[in-house]
Amino acid sequence: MIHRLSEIIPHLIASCRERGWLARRGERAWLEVVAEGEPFVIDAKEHTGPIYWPNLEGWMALFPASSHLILLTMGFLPTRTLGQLLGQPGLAGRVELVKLGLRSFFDTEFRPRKFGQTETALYRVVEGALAQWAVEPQAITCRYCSGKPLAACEACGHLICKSHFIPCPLCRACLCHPDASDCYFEHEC
Amino acid sequence: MRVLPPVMVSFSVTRECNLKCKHCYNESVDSPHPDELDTSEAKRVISQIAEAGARLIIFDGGEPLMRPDIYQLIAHARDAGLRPLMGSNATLIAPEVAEKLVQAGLRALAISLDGVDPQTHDEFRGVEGSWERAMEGIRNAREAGIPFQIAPTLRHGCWQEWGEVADIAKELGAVAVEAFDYIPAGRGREHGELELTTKERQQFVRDFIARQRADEEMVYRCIGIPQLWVEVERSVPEEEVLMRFVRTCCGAGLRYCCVLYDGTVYPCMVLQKEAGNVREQSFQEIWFQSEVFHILRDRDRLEGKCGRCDWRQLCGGARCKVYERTGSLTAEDESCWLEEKDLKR
Repeated sequence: MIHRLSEIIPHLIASCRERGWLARRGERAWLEVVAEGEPFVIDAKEHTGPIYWPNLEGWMALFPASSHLILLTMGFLPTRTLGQLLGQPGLAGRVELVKLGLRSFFDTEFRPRKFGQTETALYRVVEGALAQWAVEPQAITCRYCSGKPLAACEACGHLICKSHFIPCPLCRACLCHPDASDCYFEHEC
Repeated sequence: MRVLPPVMVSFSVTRECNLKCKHCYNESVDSPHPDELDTSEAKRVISQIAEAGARLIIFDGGEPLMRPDIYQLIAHARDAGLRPLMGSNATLIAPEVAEKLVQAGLRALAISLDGVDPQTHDEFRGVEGSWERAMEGIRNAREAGIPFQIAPTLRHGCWQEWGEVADIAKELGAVAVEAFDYIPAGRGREHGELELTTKERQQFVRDFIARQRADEEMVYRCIGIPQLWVEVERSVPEEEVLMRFVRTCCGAGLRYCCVLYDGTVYPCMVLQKEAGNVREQSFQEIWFQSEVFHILRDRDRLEGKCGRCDWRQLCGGARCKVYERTGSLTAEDESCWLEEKDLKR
């Protein structure tokens, strides 16, 4: 069992160097990596429980806008936080999140999930490192199918993909498609 | 019984403090203890904490920033793979201090703030001007990009101020509010009148639950009132409990412990029953073998109402209060308000 996420750091460094990527310890994050010419930051939050939007946003603000970000957490990211991230396309497009899903001090059952808009070579290295500890994150998907979430419904808060999304014609709010729920009809501009 | 590694360990690196808080569990004064662990001893302890499998280490005191080698210790913890955190009164966090903390690898701060009225805070903290200096320190930490949480102490007669402190915390950009029940340990024994009444605790718990349910931006935690979790389970829908609340029932000796400046290991900073000393045994030996910890881990050994309670694995009672009152680790928690009928799940 992995006790703390930082246990994978030596493996990550070795994997990056094998590929000829520059990997070094960061001041504000675990690792700064230049992979295939792109700058990356890899970091982790080792505490359990939810990470709300101000915490996530504050963490992202620590790094240059040019960097891709990979954040691993022992805790979890509530759906609302993910929805808020999707509401910031500039940020959502450069971050990959992995949560192990521990909810308390006493929780030892991992529920690994991944979320993000990027499928990078470096992220695959991170997944490879986690796999050594039998941690295999499944993708967080649309509430109604296995599609990639693009937005959060402004009525119910659930994550929805392009097939299950409809904008309100009056106020442009993102809503679940009428085929899937009543959010469209219940929504008030 | 399978013993899990600690999740979090507090390391009270010094007795020295620049404030004179009424409740100080460490009975801190304005000078270090003559027998404090030196730099190499402290680093050895940190390495052992990491080897035991801990994830987080909290440097506190006293005021940890009074210790000249604090930056070295933080960096050592970071290099050992731990996530270094600090509990501080923030009055010493000048811009250059905040920058050095970042460089050393500090990942978050917990800052004590006991009121929105400077006078209330200063009176409790024992030094005039400490509120102003703490606010300045918070601003400096924020400027340096150090995430922080605000930690008010709940006191008799003025516990309601915690809500106003939480509002200020939000305005300041805190990521969490961690309310501490007043525990009459250490110097706190001299001010037993500041302890909440059972009725006040119940009111606080209701207030706390309502606040977390209404707020999806801030993490609220509470230390010292494990019955809060019973009330959460009883009054909040399961999905909301899982998704929103941070379970902080007592982890003393189960997933958390405290190492003092002289090497003494306690189950918790406010549960001051010695489990060993890192000068005599390794941290791992103490964590995995201490009889004190074994007793705390076995909740079937609890007595009285706590022993009859179906919630004992979740709650277990405030062991710190029980120990202060009775000297026992297993007696019932007299501060619990659950009635006999509530003990069944």
